[in-house]
Amino acid sequence: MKSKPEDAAPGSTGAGLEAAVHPLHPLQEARRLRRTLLADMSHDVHTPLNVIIGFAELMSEGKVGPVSDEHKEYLGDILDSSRHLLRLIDDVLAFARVEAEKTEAGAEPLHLTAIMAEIHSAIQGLDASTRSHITIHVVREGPDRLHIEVEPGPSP
Amino acid sequence: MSGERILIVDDNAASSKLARVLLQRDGYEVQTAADAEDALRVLPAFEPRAILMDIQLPGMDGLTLTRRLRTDAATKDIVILAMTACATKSDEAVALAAGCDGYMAKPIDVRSLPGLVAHHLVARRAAP
Repeated sequence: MKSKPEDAAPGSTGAGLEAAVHPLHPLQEARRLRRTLLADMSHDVHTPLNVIIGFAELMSEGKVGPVSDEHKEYLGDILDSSRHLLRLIDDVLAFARVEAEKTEAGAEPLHLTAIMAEIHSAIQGLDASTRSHITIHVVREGPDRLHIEVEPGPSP
Repeated sequence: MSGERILIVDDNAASSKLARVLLQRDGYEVQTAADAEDALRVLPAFEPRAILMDIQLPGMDGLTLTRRLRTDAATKDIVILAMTACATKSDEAVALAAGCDGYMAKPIDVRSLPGLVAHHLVARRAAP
């Protein structure tokens, strides 16, 4: 699959430098990848359908040689079905794009205690000999910001 | 318009063939290139009046190649028509901003492609 030009590695070093200074957040990177994937899928599906529809039209219009009524009917069936398929795929991709944009807000409330409980129960299931202690520090750094640090070993 | 030279730049062999067949049927002299590098090799000797440029190409993409051709005195007046298989409104604006004369989305319309090429060739000739 190929990338759209704006996603391709730029020729100048300008954007690369910026990326090095401000590394993309993993979430942003995931969104960018999803947009690229959708664009690639659209491209990869349109390319063969373009060829199928184009040559079928060319033959159907008698531009390649004489076309019998039966040929014309079947070529018409190929064209109708190809265009139908194209519309279906475009609809699915448009839907996927809308869904992707809907979920792009990213920030959402997180039930930290529920996640901790889940981790705890997962650890409980492990053999005691493989178990080791970790300490998790959660520090409130602002009204909407928690700093979470995980370190091996029990809290001193 | 008969006999005018047209270069098709498209990495998909079947897409390229479809455009070539359509234009040759209308009397154009057609050559094809599979990527930007190939196009740059063909250009000096072939001297096309127009290029059908696929935007998504491996390596240098079609819009980068278009910008490059616009800065070279030998190629800046070639009519360049962008073709793309994933068309959105913003893609069209980006293509025109890169220096393309026109833009078409795939699937290309078999009936209107040769007319569209002819239209842009006439428009370019009429331009000062």
